[in-house]
Amino acid sequence: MIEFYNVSVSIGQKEILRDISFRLFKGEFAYIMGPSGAGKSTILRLIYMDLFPEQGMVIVGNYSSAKIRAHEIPYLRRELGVIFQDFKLLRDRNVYENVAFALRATGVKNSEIKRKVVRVLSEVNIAHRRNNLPDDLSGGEQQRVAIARAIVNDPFIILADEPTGNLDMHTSKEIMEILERINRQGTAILMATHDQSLIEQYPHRIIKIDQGEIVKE
Amino acid sequence: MNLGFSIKEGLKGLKRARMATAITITSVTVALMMIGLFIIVSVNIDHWVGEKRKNIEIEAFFEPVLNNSTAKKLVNKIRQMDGVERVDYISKEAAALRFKKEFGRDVVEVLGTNPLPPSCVIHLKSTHRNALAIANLSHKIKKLDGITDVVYAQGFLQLIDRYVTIIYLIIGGLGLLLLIVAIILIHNSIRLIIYARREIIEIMELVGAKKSFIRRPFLVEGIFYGIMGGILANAFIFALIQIVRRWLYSGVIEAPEIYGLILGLGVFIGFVSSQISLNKHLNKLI
Ligand SMILES: Nc1ncnc2c1ncn2[C@@H]1O[C@H](COP(=O)(O)OP(=O)(O)OP(=O)(O)O)[C@@H](O)[C@H]1O
Ligand SMILES: [Mg+2]
Repeated sequence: MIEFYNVSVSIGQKEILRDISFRLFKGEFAYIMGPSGAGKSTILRLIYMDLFPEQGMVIVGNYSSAKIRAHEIPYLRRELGVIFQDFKLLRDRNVYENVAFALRATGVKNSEIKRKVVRVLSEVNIAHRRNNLPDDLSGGEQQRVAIARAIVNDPFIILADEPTGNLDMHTSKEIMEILERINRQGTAILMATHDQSLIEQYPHRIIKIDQGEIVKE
Repeated sequence: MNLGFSIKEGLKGLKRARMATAITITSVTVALMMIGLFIIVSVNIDHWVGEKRKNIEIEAFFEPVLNNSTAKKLVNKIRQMDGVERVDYISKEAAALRFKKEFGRDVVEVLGTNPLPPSCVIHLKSTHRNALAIANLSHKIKKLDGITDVVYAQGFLQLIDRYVTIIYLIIGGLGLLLLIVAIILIHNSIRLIIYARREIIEIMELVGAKKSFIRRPFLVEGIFYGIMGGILANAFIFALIQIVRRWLYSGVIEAPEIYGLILGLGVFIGFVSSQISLNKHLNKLI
């Protein structure tokens, strides 16, 4: 469902990824692990096609990096959910509006928006804070809002770029529990992290990269 | 798709960048106002010059010995010429009468004979009321047998022709310059708003909003600048015309089409400059 075929990326003179190949199956949970600067975020960007490989090919669902047209990229992204270390919430809108925004921006009907938002907010246990602004929330709560926004379009995969990077151990586990639950319901998860202890507590497949290369599967 | 959403987001952007919005609307207003005033000034100059040109006529003098019927034949010939609207024949007798009117004395009484030649006054078609056409025509008339002299206000004509062209060039150039300034200013404001809102743009991108959808609030903003600038400029132009009419010169021609034109121009430059800005700056972010 996600396939990398001998993917290489360089920016300027610098080679960032070299000959990366791997495959992620439907409903799988996998980590991309590696030190800072290894190329983890770059792999995720290739998947949501914010970046294209110079060599090789990335296939995501029905889309291929070699063939996708610019106007198709939004449709690809509607099938993915992306979350980040810094949450990327809109600070001037409350929790409800932050999630609803993803639906409004993709042309979902108003009548459907409310139903969907309410459902995902309770799924990540943040419904009681729906009228609060992001700044009023703890880091863990903000990440839950971001997860709600990521799953509101029913994606087949969540791409998580160090989602626990700003959180303490306890809160990180909370987030992991939510991701685990989402995964059990059939959504694949690809998570970039360098948190060894978290991986040990929630063991899944590990794709280990260093300096742009896969060093261990 | 959801136009209400685009408009709401667009207006939010304006509110967030209040200072830039105020500056931009002010400059667009000034630019459109200048353009409007230039149009009014040129319409008025045009009108004034047209009036002056209407009075321009050529007078051709016949040989004094020519009798009326031969002179009339010549007049008919002139009537056939290109650019001639009307020819009035002035016989020897009529010329004497005119002399008396102008100088208060009867020539025949003073000299015992009438030395004044018969002549004719040629009025031109509006297309031929310029220095070049008149020079050509008078040259042709002069070559006719029986014509001794052709006179017209050559200096005045050349003056009008030369200065009117210069004035129009200046007005046109300045108007164009101001238009470009307005476009640059709107473009810059949209750029500021784009950067002020790069977070929301990034998020829209991530959740799969279409490009056209992301662009639309900014277009709403650009057009809003244009409309506001147009309305304000129109208000100022209207007020100014009333003031000039009342205190300076009551004959000002208003040209009411100008208000629609200014508003349309505002919308147009708002649209164009936000498109330019989006193509340049949004694509960098997306
Ligand atoms: N736009 C860019 N221009 C130049 N170099 C870049 C760019 N983006 C990434 N890089 C470089 O590519 C390499 C991999 O970056 P990437 O962000 O994928 O690493 P990462 O594994 O996610 O690191 P971290 O754990 O710090 O997030 C880094 O050395 C980085 O400096
Ligand atoms: Mg990274």
